[in-house]
Amino acid sequence: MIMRKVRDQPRTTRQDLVNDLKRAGATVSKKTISNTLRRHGLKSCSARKVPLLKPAHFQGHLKFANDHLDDPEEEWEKVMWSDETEIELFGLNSTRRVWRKKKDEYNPKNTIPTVKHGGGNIILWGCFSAKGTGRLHRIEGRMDGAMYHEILANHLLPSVLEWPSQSPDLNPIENLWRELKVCIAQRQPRNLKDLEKVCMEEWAKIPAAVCAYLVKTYRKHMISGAQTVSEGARMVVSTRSIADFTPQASFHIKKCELHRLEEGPSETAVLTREQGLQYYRTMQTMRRMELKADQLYKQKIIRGFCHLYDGQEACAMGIEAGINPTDHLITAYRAHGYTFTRGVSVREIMAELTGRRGGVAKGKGGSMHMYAKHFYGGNGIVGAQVPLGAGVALACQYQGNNQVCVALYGDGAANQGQIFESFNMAALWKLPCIFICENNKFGMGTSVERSSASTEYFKRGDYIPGIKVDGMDVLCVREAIKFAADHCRAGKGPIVMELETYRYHGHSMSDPGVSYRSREEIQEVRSKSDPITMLKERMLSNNMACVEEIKEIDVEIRKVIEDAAQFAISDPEPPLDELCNHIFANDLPMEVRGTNPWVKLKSVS
Amino acid sequence: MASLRCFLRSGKSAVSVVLRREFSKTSPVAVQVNVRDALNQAMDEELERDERVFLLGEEVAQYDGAYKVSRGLWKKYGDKRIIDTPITEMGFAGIAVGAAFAGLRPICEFMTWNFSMQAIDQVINSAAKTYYMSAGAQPVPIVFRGPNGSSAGVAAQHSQCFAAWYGHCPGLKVVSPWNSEDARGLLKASIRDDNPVVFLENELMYGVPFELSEEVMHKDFVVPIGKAKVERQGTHITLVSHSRCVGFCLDAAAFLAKEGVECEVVNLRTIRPLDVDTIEASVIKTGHLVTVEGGWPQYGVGAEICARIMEGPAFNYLDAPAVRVTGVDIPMPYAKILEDHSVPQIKDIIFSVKKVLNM
Repeated sequence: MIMRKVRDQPRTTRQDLVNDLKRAGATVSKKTISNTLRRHGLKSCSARKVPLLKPAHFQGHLKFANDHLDDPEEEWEKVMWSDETEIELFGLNSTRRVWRKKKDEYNPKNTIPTVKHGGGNIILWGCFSAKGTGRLHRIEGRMDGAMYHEILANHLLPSVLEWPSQSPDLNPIENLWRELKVCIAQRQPRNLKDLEKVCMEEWAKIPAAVCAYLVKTYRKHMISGAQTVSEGARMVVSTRSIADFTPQASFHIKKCELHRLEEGPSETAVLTREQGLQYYRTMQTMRRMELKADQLYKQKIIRGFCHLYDGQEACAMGIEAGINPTDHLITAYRAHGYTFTRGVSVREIMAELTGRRGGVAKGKGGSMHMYAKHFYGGNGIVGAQVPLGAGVALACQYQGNNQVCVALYGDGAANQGQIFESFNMAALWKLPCIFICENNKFGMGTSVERSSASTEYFKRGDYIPGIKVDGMDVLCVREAIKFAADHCRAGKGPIVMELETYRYHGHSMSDPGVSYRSREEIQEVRSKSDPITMLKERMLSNNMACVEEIKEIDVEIRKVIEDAAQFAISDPEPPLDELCNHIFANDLPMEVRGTNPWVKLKSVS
Repeated sequence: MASLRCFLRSGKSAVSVVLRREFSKTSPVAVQVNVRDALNQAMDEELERDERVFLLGEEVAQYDGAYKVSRGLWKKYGDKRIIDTPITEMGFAGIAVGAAFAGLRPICEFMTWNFSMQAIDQVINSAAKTYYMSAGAQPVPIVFRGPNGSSAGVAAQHSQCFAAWYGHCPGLKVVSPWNSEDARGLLKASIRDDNPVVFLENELMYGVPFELSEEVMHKDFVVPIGKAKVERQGTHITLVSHSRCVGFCLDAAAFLAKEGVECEVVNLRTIRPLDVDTIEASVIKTGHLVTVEGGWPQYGVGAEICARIMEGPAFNYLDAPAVRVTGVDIPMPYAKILEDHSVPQIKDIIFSVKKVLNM
């Protein structure tokens, strides 16, 4: 209860909390409050004083940050930073700490005399660049426009950056002011004239290296400043509109290694805000769905095979983003992600995993056998799906419908003979088939080095052109599949793609996944290359979304998954009288022998 | 024995004599069509009728078919619909099934069913089981066809009968025609069926002519899958068989008729689903059963028929245990004398009948 209160109102005093608890019937001391909050990681700290910011200020800050985010370092080195500041003679210019014993506070040695209004102050105007400090100028009276122009003219500033107001967090000179003030406090000037002299001396002493460093790290400060501004704007969020966000941005993506291709996929990807949010939502849904499946499996509500896809979301999402819903796709058994991207609801997927009548295959297929329009599963026999995919592509060519088929397989399947048989026929007949190897580095417990004489899976098509793609970057995958689909639709025949990706879980739920790889390796991928995190960071740092929005999406997804799981657990199992149905299509009902000759079961199409 | 051999040679004319009696009742125009041509015409007509039908396999196009079953089809329909494949059964069978997933109606030829073992995973796991696994979302309208069972002098790896293996699996329909009417009607029915069909032909039957009535020659003539045919009425004993052995059964029956034994000959036509009703009705009538097949005895077609009879009402009408006549339980040898003694002959059928009838 106190946690909630302090979370909502961080300035709540301990006395307030004591009173609240008293009313609720519990008597505690203020010390207890402190201890409790401390245990939850909350310390009593002094509130930082920040300038009062209105929505317009936020807009301005973010626009500035966004406009200049991509400016290269060399540009920043040319900038002259300037500002004014007020320096008090006896002011709060440095932290005042003393070493003393407990009851010794008022010993004159341990006190600092204060004077009303800080004993007077001077106003300074200074500037600096990456090369070092520039002029420092004392201003008599108040700064006005004319005075400012004069100062600028004197210092021959070539241009002035459009500066958002009330933005001390965006001007690195503030750091220098702080440096200056600390130095001055140590010198303890006796009067204002002395103060001015001391300021000039200390200013000149500030090393150029410090200035250079400030400029160098400016960009980082700008980003975090912008983030802080947006995070701190919790209460102001409701006044933000979509117009505050960047509608789209262009990203440089990793160049793909090519095999038998002169040109490859585009090295820049344009992402719109809508797309970004959609990809994020889809990938996060896949992630949470798989984690929920993990949970349900451990509770023995899901049984049999369960091969989880978490870590590989960018592959499924990128592919779906680059093809049309009318194109075709077939994959192996690690299929839950694709089942979702191809249009089956989380509810129907989870209910299939738990074997209920509401499952997409009415509980008859299970994890590896889920189907949808233009999605042919979900296949349990390693490699068998590849000729099937080539066959679907043949049908596309036969029907002349300009559609393509994406046939996926893993690094473990990549050595299957039937895959090479498919390559041969697809190339011979120029089938519009995109063969994709999702290389997550392990076929069950066998690393690629131990299974394959050649691990360059994108070259294994030999006479078929190949592309190697960063499978953790959804934009990379998207651009590559677009390229591949164009290639096929142009009648150039099949193409092979290798997506470098990673699965966080073991091969299946019966494999912890750490006997053949280290926890450190898994953790490293999670922290450095997670596909969802990568997308999120791109969106946030380009002002294409804000943290609140992302959090809202997460909350929505959590609810969707919870609802689906609830359904999957509570939906009844398929009725026994449907046991023998769906043997044959479009046939008259027939009799099926049961477990003994007296059991005669009925089968309808 | 000599008379038997004589009878065999005149076998086909004996058949046409029987049919000629019928001709005076129906309108004329009956034709002599051998099994190969019956298959060819069936495919031709179905290719014309439905654009989605196409044929793929080794040598089916430009070579006119390894056994000439697809002669003339490539010339008529071209590369798009008659496709020569490389010698990669697993690959092209998978491609055929995938094409069926996506809405086409492929006919996938195996040069012989022995080679289907390379592709059996696609037939069973990708074709047969998919409609069930998908709870009816994904039908697989495909026909796998080719010559099955023993030929002449092709030895062990090229002589196996696969009726029992494929007949074992739910989700598949398995048919095994004997004569030209069977071949024509069952192939048309199979192509029009929305399910995976294993079509077991017989190389030694390809060249055998039969007379086909006008009704059978009609473009929409189909033989229903799952229905056996009583080829010869009888009263003393039931002979159940499929494919080439049906002919042997008829020959044996003709011989036995001279000794006063009237055999009822049932041509299964379909291995799966098995037409137990027809068999049971016949056994109830005759009280005696002998099954005849070219394949090995263990876990074979005959074994299944006997088990079904045991479990059903016909058991109570059996006057003697049901018995199977099968191929010898060995890989097929090469030398003619050995090969001849590895497959059921007419004398084996006659012998078994007499034993069952206690003659």
